[in-house]
Amino acid sequence: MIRKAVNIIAIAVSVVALVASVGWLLLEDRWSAADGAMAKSGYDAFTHGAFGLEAFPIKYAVVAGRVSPAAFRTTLEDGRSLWETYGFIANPKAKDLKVQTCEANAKQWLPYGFAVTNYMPALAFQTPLQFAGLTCASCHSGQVRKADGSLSEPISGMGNMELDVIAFTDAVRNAMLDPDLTADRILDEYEKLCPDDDTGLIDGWVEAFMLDQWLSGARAAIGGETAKYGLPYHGAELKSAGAIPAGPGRTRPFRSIVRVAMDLPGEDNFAYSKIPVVFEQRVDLRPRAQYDGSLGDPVTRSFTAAYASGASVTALAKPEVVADIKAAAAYTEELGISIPVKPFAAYFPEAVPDPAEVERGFQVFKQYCADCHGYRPVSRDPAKVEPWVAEGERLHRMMGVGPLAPAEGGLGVDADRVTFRYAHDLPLTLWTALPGNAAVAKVQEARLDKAKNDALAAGEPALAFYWTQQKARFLETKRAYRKGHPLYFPACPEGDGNCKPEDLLAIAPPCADDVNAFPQKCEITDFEAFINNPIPYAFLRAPYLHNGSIPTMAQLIHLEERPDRFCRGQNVYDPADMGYVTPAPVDDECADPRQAFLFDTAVRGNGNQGHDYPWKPEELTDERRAELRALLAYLKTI
Amino acid sequence: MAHLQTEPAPRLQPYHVAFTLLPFAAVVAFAVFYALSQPNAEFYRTNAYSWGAAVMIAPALFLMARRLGRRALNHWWRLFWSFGLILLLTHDIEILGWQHLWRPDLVAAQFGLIGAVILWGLEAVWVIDVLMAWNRLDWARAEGRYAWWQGCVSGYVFLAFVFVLFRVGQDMESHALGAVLLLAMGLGLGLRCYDREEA
Repeated sequence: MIRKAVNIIAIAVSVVALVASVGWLLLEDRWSAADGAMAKSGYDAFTHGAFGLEAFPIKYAVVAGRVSPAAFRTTLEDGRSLWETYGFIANPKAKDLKVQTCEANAKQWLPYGFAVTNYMPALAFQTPLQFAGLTCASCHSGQVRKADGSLSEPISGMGNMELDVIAFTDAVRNAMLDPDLTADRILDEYEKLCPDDDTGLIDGWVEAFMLDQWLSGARAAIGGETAKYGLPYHGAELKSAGAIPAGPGRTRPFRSIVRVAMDLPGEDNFAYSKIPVVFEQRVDLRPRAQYDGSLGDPVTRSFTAAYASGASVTALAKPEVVADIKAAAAYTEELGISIPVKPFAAYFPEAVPDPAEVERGFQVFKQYCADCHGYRPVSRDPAKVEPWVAEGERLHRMMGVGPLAPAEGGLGVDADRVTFRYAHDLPLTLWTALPGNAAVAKVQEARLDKAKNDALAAGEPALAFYWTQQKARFLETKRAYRKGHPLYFPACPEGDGNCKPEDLLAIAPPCADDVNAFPQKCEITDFEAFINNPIPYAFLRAPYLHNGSIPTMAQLIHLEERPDRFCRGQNVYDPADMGYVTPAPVDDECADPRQAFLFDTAVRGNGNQGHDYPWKPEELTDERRAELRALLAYLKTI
Repeated sequence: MAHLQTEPAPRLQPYHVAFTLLPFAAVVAFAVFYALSQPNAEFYRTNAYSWGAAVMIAPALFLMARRLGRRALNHWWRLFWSFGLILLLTHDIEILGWQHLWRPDLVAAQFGLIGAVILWGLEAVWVIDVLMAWNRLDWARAEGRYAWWQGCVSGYVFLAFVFVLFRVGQDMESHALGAVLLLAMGLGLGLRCYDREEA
């Protein structure tokens, strides 16, 4: 009898376990179909694609203001929503939404540039729990804020100059570490707000379980990294330049990548970068991306951006993510060329410059600027732009800074963007983050060994230790991607059956190129240099220089004095000076809660010196000032 | 062969099913659910199926080593051997599908043509062996060529697993399971010798 009962129990338990396992696999298939169905146009991939940057469940986003008010509060809300306070662009569909915001209508109210996916963050498997994830458009879409208070529609490809992404990240980290935040609390609050949201019995159970798993996982991950990241800032600190020196419209991408790719602290990194525009990225116009020209391929650039922002190698191998990254990269290549971007005249018809002045400015530009930037011929129709002409003696050339600066002085801009610690170790680290096929992986392994041996020979045992660790990480990753990670680079052109990845090893890092070599072929370079590139849609590139330290074009070309300190946030666009109206601080403070970030150019990494073209202020004459005014008029039209 | 002819015919009992199905189900559930806590769930799941196959074949290899040609094989052997095959096939479907995009040529490129042929050959003969075990009346008391077949297939599977677990698998789990297989085979052969001395 007992034996019979034991047999029955064992068989019953086995059947339950098998049914649960097979059932889960079938459900995974169903949940993944939702993401797989997101076959997208370039715009859709750019704006709503999955990039492995899932931040939190939609259900949490619905109730975040109720369950985590302290974590997100900056004390500078001034009546703004949580999203608006951090500079996210309001969803254009939200104004038509007359019902409660819930999971079911998330795509109508989540800020512009958020994706809705079923991927668990980092682990990248799918569940019924929907997540809100960042996309390219979260950072690389902006709006023009006019003096009358109106806002333009979102402009794809423009950097979001109001987005406080690091502050937002700290706020999220605060929320996750809140010991009082539980899955039950989130779901209880959610059910109060969205009582009609019927998830279904099984999906409901799985959702509740996964919500709990996500929260405990996120808390463990964030809590476990406080030694590397420190505790997040909170309250008014989130908007304080003293605490978070990047501020609106800027990031610290190399602090992030040092942390993510090298697993090292990045606090001593002052490479502040304005969120760049991503117009006209086609490789004939812009063969190398980034302000320093360090990346040679738009897909690699997009992978690096997602990876630095926290996407895991696992997530970046998902077919949907790979497809979205490639589609978004292709979109930016054509954005502004075959995909139209509205010119200055469309936003400021009342401030369209005089055509004769524009023509004079064009001549000034050709004489003094085109050598480095190429040029755009003047369009007869102010509503359109002519194709950019990528011709110039120094176009696409590296401009060294510091020890690499040319004898005549060079650009002279703040060099912290390209001189940070570990800069020279990043190319090989990034390259070996993604294993290639078997033949390539052998070379990757050999180069890691060489880096270790070189470090030992140079008397740097700690660096040798780092490369040993990196090799261990590489070998671990390689086991999972036997035929190579799908985003491995340098990659053969699509459809080129004769090309093999191992044929491209000569351009895989580290390369021994010279800063003056042209064209630069290495897939990732690490020169202390900036690159000369075209500047299409210059009016949407304000504030200027790589670190956003000069609010207007008039100031960049020394038609106006460059301010030492100014207030940033929700700044109004000034079509006359082509840039942002930035109030000066009063008593060392930016009192307006909507422009509360004090940008001080004396702070390391914030320098606004250099790029004294066409002339330095002391070289200006009345005649040259007139030429600069014409130049400014022309720059508005390109 | 005297033992073979005098042993009673094996009968499938509920406890045979219960206590082979239980570890099989546990291994599948482990692969499906525990993988969700790992950084790369698909990869972990793929590995876990192969680890599960090793777990299931350990008792089967022990029984084969001890009994082939001496005593009748039993249902423990047949069930463990079959469940092991199911797990290996699941592992291979994951490898072919997830890691190699359903392209056998990529598998061949990864393992080399000879490696791929050996791998697929292993699966082919194992499938045939399991089909024969469930269709032939003499599966438990194989003699002659069939006994050689059973012995060779078991040896092939054993050597392939040990090689892969020690040489290809670079994790502690693989090495531990390789050791378990060596132990199971060693124990089976040791007891086989002991049985002979007793006789």
